[in-house]
Amino acid sequence: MKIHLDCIYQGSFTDIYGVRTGEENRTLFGAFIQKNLNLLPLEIDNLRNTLLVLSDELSPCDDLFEFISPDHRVCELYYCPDKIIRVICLKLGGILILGNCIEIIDHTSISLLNEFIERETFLMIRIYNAIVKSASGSMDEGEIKRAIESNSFLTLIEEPHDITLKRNLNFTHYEKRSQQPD
Amino acid sequence: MKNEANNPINQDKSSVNDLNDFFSVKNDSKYNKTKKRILLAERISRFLLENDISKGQFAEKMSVQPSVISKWLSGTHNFTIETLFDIEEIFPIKLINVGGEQHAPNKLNFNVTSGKVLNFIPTSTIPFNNPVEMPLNNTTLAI
Repeated sequence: MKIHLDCIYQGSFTDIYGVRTGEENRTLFGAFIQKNLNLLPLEIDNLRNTLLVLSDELSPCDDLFEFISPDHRVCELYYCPDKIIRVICLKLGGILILGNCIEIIDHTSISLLNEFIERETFLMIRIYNAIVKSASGSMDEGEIKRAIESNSFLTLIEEPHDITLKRNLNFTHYEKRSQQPD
Repeated sequence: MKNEANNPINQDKSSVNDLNDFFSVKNDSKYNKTKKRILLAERISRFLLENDISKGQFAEKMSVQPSVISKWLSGTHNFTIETLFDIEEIFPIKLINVGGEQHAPNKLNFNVTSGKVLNFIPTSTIPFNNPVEMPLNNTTLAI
């Protein structure tokens, strides 16, 4: 599967990229927004404002994100108290890569949610590994940005079986939900 | 803001930036609220980092669970004024700046002999001669 990173917004502090897969002409994030803009207008407005603030106003610190796999910088974005939309991100200093999103609605089962989080985390880890490898292991933001913009990481994205995913991911925030009937 | 979405380096020809419109819509009122909420959380977070205070220590001093601190620092918490005062009381951080909001009493320009009010000068147009400034430092955030 081909993976591309498209620059979707560039602010004074943070550059935001979106993951685009296969032959799609939209990023995963863009497709999600287009699909849900009318269904979840308030949530999406909150999300947009948060992304704009993070990009234009400050260098976002890690506390504004909930890390799913800290070693690989894979996280979720906090944007409102009850995150109806879960956005899987990769945060590399002032570079924020938005992966796929899912909306949590009443009948969303915990197993579906976990499956989604695991699959998308896996994708982001693959991207992280490729970028770091392309940047010669350097975590310097400039090197990482060059690797992204030159697309040199593309050939280094490995197939899923080449990567082992930590199984002890900290999904504490889902445990609360698991108390509710699926 | 410089949007590089059309930069061919970043995208191949099959891609279009489908989010140009999305990011161009901005409700100023809501945006400003979000901005202040996040900047407040970020201010506390940086204070802890710069002063080498762990979240656990912060939680202990504030007599709350560490999970509450994570919520506070997430930029989504709706702080009460009491909580902000408590943080300021315990730690040397300024989160509420009321200094810049000092108002001089509204000035009435009146005729001394007749005692009639000639006009009313709103405070905002009067130079504030003796402002009582709150101590400002780099941890002050006006909200």
